Amino acid sequence: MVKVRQVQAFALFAAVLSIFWFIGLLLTMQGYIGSTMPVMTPIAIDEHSKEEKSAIQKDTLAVLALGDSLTRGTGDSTGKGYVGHLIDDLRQGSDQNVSIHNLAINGQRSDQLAQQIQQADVQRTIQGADLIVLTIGGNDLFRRGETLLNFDMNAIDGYREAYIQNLNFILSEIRKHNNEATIFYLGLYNPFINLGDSETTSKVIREWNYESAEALALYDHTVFVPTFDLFQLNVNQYLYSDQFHPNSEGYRIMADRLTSLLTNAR
Amino acid sequence: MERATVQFDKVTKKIGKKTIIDEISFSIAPGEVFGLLGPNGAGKTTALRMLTGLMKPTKGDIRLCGYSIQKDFEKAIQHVGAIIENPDLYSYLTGYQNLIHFARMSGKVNKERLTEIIALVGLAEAINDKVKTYSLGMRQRLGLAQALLHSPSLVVLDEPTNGLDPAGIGELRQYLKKIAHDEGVTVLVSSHLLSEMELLCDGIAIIQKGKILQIQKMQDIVKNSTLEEHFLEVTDR
Amino acid sequence: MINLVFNEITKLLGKRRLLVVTLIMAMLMAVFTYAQAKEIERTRERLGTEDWRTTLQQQIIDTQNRLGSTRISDEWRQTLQIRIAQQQYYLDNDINPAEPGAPTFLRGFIENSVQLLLPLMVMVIAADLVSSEKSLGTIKLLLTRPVKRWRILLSKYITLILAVSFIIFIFGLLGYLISGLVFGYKGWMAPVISGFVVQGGELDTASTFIIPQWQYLLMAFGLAWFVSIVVGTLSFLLSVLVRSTAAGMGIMLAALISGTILSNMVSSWEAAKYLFMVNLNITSYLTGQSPPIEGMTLGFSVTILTIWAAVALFLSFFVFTRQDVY
Repeated sequence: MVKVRQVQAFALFAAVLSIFWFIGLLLTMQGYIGSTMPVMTPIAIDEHSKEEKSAIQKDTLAVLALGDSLTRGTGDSTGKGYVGHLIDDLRQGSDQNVSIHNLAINGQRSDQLAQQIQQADVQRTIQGADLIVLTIGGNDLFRRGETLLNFDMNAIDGYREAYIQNLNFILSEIRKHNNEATIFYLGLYNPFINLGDSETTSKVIREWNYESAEALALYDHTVFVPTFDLFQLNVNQYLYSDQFHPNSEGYRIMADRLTSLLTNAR
Repeated sequence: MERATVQFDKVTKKIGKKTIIDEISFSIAPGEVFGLLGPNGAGKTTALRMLTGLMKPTKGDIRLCGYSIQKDFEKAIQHVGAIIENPDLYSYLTGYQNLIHFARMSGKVNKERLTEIIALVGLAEAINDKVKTYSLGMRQRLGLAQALLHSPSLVVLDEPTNGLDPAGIGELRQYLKKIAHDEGVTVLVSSHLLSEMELLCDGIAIIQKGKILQIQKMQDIVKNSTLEEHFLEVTDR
Repeated sequence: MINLVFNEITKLLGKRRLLVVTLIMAMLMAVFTYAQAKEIERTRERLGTEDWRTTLQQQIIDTQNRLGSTRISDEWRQTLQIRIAQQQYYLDNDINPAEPGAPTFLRGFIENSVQLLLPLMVMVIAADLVSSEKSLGTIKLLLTRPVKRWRILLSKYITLILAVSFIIFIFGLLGYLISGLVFGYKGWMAPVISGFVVQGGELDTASTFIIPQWQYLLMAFGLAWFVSIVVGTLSFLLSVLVRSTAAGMGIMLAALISGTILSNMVSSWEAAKYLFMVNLNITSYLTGQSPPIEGMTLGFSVTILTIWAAVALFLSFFVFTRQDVY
């Protein structure tokens, strides 16, 4: 039964609450419409969160993935991509905690990656990384298929020169922030190897890969991981329906190669 | 002449194009037990709704204790206690809470009066139970309690004997007659139960299809015949 | 008047509707807390770290990748771009947008409840304040007392406001207590960035300010309270107009749900911004999401909602004091 005393208490309490919420409303209106809200500078960040971060990093293998759609895993119906498979392998292979940072962006070109790694937070991530995997250049070369449609060797030479410059910049930037982490660069494969004129396309890609490997060799702890051979035979078995990106199987064999390199290294 | 407690003055009520009440006029003197008599759908309840301010007359005016129900609603209604149709109460509250609820709205009702009225309607034992556990008779009595709570000078009851057992009807009749004749409370009752009206009322108005056919003192009627014969005679015309 | 309000509160508590509302909210809180905890756990497993910067950065990149898709509508693209800009801003200022803890959960929950859940709860109360008296028949007893009709209706409206305040409070209290079991009870002082302005599909950070989370919550709850009062007032009007509580609730429910649907698809129908239900998601201005229709601002929405409520309130009193009671 509802007592009179309860009713009065409820009324009083609810009345106080009404005033309270009304103050909240006024505060909002003042902040947004009167715009008297002082623009404050960020409050000093509690230091412990940063300490916490480094504490976590110590017993964790921090993997950083950079680059384009290949690193993103486009075409893999499981959504993992070679990075996902690699992480799975690493986690299975040891008790060590593995963290993954996949900052790859679909369709990214080398000049865009060069910009991306100049962001403060990306740089911080680079600092904390123990292992960096990277795919870049595919979009520089193929330009969403344009290159194949208007095949022009001179244009391709131009693309490559610009790309190599960017790659150098990217690698030197990474090295600037992190001297230790091994960088695994995955080379290009030829998705068009089954089409006509495969001799020409394969030649272009081989040259591209060669130049990339040469550039990479200028920096310490860098590994050029070829993928050309993986997709050379049976390319259709490993390609996604867009006939460009690898499918789940394709990513699997890419990851297998990386995993074997890593387990050898450790 | 003494001022009438209830005065209907050429009251008409139309809903849409339909005329529910057609220019009725009558008055009830203080201390009188007055019956509105008529078949179902005659307009009794509509008349009582207008009397209590629930509906507004299309034309005409109703005065209670001299105050117009439309212009002086609060002054007019404070003398009225009513049960319109069913004794609808808050079934999820207890009987006592229901009474407190209406006491708060009327003002000038103290605890003693509450206890007194509860005893009067014989609900002392069940008053702290929820109304939904009540029988129809108990609800009827609680309805009566809320109507009498603020010692009104006019009690309006619509079909008051619905759901009451014969003993309860007898008690109610005695009580109504007592407050009317001893305390000068005016009672306005509507019913289609002729035998009951005959025993209870001092005067009646016979109403049919929104019109008053006849207003008479009970004693004049029962001099020559029974109320039932009279009623049939009047409504047949 | 205070006695009339006590009467209404007695009835409100007697009907146990508040209890039902409280139980519904408690259940939902528990479910959402569980869901949120699962989500956090999954992210942690996937990324292998608890560092919020990692998580946030990953979110930004993930969103950027969605932007890359060609099959994405312009509006959605714009929404995503604003979200990225905002997350980047948090990252640049080194502020965690989701400091773990019950207050943060509460913040997310109120932002998601303001459009539908809270209005629904309020509607449950408001829709039968008057109509239940009609369907029970008690209105005849209520209106045959020496109290003017407008005073009776006002006492009911005051009770509605009190009930709304109480519901908002219970919402906060339950959310805090229940989610705190999982996330911990700290985080009132965590910094939150507010004051984002979305203009022409771009995020403007010029007028942003940083406030402690408790203050942000107070602001968000204030807005939620305001929205609830408006929805309550509209339900109140329906309650006066229709006899059946169910019909009133049905109408209000349809309006509220159409609001959530409309907000997602009306950007090309500009006049829709004058509908009350499109303006309910009012806390989105605090978080700086792009409004459903270009040109809507906090001030605009508050004005529109106030006008709707004022008209509804006026109509309620106008009708109630004049209508014939059957």
